Amino acid sequence: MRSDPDLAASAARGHEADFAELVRRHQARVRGMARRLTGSASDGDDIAQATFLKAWQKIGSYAGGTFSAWICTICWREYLQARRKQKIEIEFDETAEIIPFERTQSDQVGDQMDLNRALNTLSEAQRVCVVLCVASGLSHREAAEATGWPLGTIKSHVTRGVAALRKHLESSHVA
Amino acid sequence: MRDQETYSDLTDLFTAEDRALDPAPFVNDVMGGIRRKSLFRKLVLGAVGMVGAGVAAVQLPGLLTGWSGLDTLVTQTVTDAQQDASLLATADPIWLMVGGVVTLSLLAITAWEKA
Repeated sequence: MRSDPDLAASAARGHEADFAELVRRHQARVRGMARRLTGSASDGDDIAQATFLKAWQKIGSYAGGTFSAWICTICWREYLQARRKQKIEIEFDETAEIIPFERTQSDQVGDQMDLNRALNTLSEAQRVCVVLCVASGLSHREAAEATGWPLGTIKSHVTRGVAALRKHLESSHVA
Repeated sequence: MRDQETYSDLTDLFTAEDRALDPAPFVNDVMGGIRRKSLFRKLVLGAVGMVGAGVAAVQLPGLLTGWSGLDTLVTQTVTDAQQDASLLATADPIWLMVGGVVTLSLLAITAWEKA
């Protein structure tokens, strides 16, 4: 099986089929990340689509390393851009309230799962850090580079977010 | 890495959820968007290129005049003669010969004018 950097190099030379393979490999991670960040399946998929379109334009700038971290960084930027378009301001601190995208009824159906409900109980900053590091599999350093937040902040939000997530999951299982 | 091992069970839960997503329609949408953008880009570049080539062709006699210092009429005749010669190449050989003589005559006149 060809490696991600190999496929990316080929895609940079204009081979669409190789880029399609990269999309196939990473779509689940990127869609999952975007859906969890927005709290909506349709908005999440729109952001994921914009992420891959941007990745196609910038594929020549991919300089090796973990492709998933690279694509997740683009996804994070697309998410921020989408939020700016919606004119919603986020304060990334412990006390920040969760301000979800406008949700349709059909989107909310998928949110009934315990995991997503538990995720929605976290503060905005914790949710972002848990989505990037726990759900999307980025290392703390990669998440710090993607968001521009200090490494210590990321670690702290992940630790607290994971603890809160576990607590919520345990209580929902007991109930 | 040690930190990530402490929540690998949660990561597995999220990954399982993501794997349930159907990739085919999404991949088709993304690649369709890329192809549409690529086609649009090619069309725009092609159209701009054609316009540029057209403008260059219109400007050619004037450019030759400026470069050789000859009258526009003479350079226009030279460019017309080149086009006529290429047309003649597909016709009867006798016309090709006539075209050659005309071209040579025009070149001689041009050289004489320039001198």
